[in-house]
Amino acid sequence: MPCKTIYRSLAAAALFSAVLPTLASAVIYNGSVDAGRVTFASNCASCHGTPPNNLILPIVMNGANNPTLISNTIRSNPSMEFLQGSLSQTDINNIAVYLAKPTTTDSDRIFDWGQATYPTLLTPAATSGSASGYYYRYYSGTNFYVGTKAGSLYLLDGSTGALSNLGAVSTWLNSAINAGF
Amino acid sequence: MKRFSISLLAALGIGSAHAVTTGDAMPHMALPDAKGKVQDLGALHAKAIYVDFWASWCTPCRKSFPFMSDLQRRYADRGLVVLAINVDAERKDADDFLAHYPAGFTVLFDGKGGTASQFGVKGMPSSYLIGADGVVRNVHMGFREETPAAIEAELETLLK
Repeated sequence: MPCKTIYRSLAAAALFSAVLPTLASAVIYNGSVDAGRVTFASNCASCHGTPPNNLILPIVMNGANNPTLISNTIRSNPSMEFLQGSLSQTDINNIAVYLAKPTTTDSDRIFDWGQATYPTLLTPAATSGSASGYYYRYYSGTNFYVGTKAGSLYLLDGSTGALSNLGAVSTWLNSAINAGF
Repeated sequence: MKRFSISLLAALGIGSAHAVTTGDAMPHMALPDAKGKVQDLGALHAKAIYVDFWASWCTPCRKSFPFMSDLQRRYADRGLVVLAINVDAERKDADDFLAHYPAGFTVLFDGKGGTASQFGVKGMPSSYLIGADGVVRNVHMGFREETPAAIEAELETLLK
């Protein structure tokens, strides 16, 4: 493998791992949409339906990115008091994020953040797909792939075949959250 | 006057954030039944109407259906009409549910959710006990162990 292509892969991985400042004005969606989807399905959907296709009960969407409203409603509405004690603050935060972003995934949030943060590396903006256990996006402009599998984030250089494990999805999700994704 | 104004707004579908509650007038409803015939609830003459909103994905509704069938059977000759309004967007979802949980009462279909919005329904099931004067007497959301006894007591009071 030529030195130039090895350097390309290493530089890309290093670039992706750099610590970046957060966007000060970003709205924070403080939680996991994946976890929120699961928690909502097991605790809320039996009475409220499943967003976003259920437009019959728009009041549920008032909880979008509003964990305080959800907590207060659980405390004050007799029909929902059975949830008191069974949902943690983290659970409620996750539900609030899920209601705000019902059609996305945590991987997509990371990919979206990556595209915005590394526009020269992850270009042009791509859509997600699945293959070989990975959930990924392919960037034809640079021949790089970014994907998640079993809780880790990966970068694959399509030109060299070099695969880099960039670490835990949860860590990268925090970066995406702090930047407003 | 205030109560009338709120009910009028609800009937017009304006200010849908308002949830129908005890003391409000029943919003106007005209919905198709299982055969597609539109039933105008304003023309219904009953001493009591029990309106229940339900959906195929509603787990508690599996328990409320037998209760409502029993309620309709035992109180029919005293003037009760049970109306269950389905809010599934796909009629097939409702039909699949009904195949498993038969309805011994009238089922109407509100696939676009317009009537549910007029009532300000927040969750399934939501039920409204309405008097002959069209005024909502009691509202219940959800269906728990104690719900049947509470509804029956309210119904007895209404039919006295």
